[in-house]
Amino acid sequence: MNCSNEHSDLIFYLEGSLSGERKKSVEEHLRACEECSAFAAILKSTLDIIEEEKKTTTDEDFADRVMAGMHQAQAKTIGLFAYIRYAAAAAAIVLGVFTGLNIARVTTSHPDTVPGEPGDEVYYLNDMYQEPIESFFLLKYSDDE
Amino acid sequence: MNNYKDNNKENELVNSLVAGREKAYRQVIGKYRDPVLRLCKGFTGSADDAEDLAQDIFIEVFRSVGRFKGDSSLSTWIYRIAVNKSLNFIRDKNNKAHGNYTVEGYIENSKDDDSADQQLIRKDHARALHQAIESLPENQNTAFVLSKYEDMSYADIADIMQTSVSSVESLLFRAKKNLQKFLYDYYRKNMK
Repeated sequence: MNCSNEHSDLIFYLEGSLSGERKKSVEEHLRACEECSAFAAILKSTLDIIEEEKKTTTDEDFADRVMAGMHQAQAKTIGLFAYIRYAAAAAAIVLGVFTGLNIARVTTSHPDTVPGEPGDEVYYLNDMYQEPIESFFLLKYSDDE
Repeated sequence: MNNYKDNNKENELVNSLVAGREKAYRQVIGKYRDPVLRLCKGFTGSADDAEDLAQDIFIEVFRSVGRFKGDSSLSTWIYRIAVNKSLNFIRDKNNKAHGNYTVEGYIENSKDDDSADQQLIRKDHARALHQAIESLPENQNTAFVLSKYEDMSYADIADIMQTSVSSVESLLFRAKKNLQKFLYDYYRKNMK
């Protein structure tokens, strides 16, 4: 009889799911083979541990500990949200100041700037200093003459 | 009719959980503490780890109950969270301390009248059992723990694992074969 064949079915034999010829064959083998019989005993006592581990004891404080953990987790979340809110407000203020400064810089008057000079496009953003188009043409024609 | 009543009760319970009512939290803990603890013991093999893990599972359940859509029963949903958290726990544990296995749970369950030798043998068997369970691929591990530690039917396991009953049958068959092989090699090596 082949030991490895019988080994492969031992767990099913021990849990009682073998029947008929298969069951008989394993039983016969266990009677004849000392090594397999020893392994079957060890396997059974190993699997019996599952039944012992399934037993749970009563623990009145378990729910309290979960509730305490729950409140702690909620407090952490609230703290995190508050932190994010403050960080967002601070970022908005910094962004506002930065944008304001840039707008101010762009629209600040440049009295010394000569219109048409390369790199001085900013001049045209300032209406106060923009020349009326009529003056521009008048100036152009007087130069031609 | 009974199903309708049960559904109504479950809906009320879920609504109370979403509203954050402590009474509902305690009701869920009272009903699911033992099954969740058993499941955690099956995955971790340690009473202390199982206790910590079970607490984390309930906190996760309560914090995410707003996302419960009612596609499955509340118990199936809780079991899914429990399985996912347990698998994550094992992954983290294996990443942190590979092979550093403890069996406190088993020591606690040992009977007082056991001799020291018997306790050592049982401790060794518990260690072997949980090493064998952890050596299984995750889906075989999950099917085995749900079947053996929760005595669940194939249909319930299939529901939790979102697979078919025939897949569960196949997973359990392979899990048992692999477990047996691991234990055979383990004892053969350690008894020489």
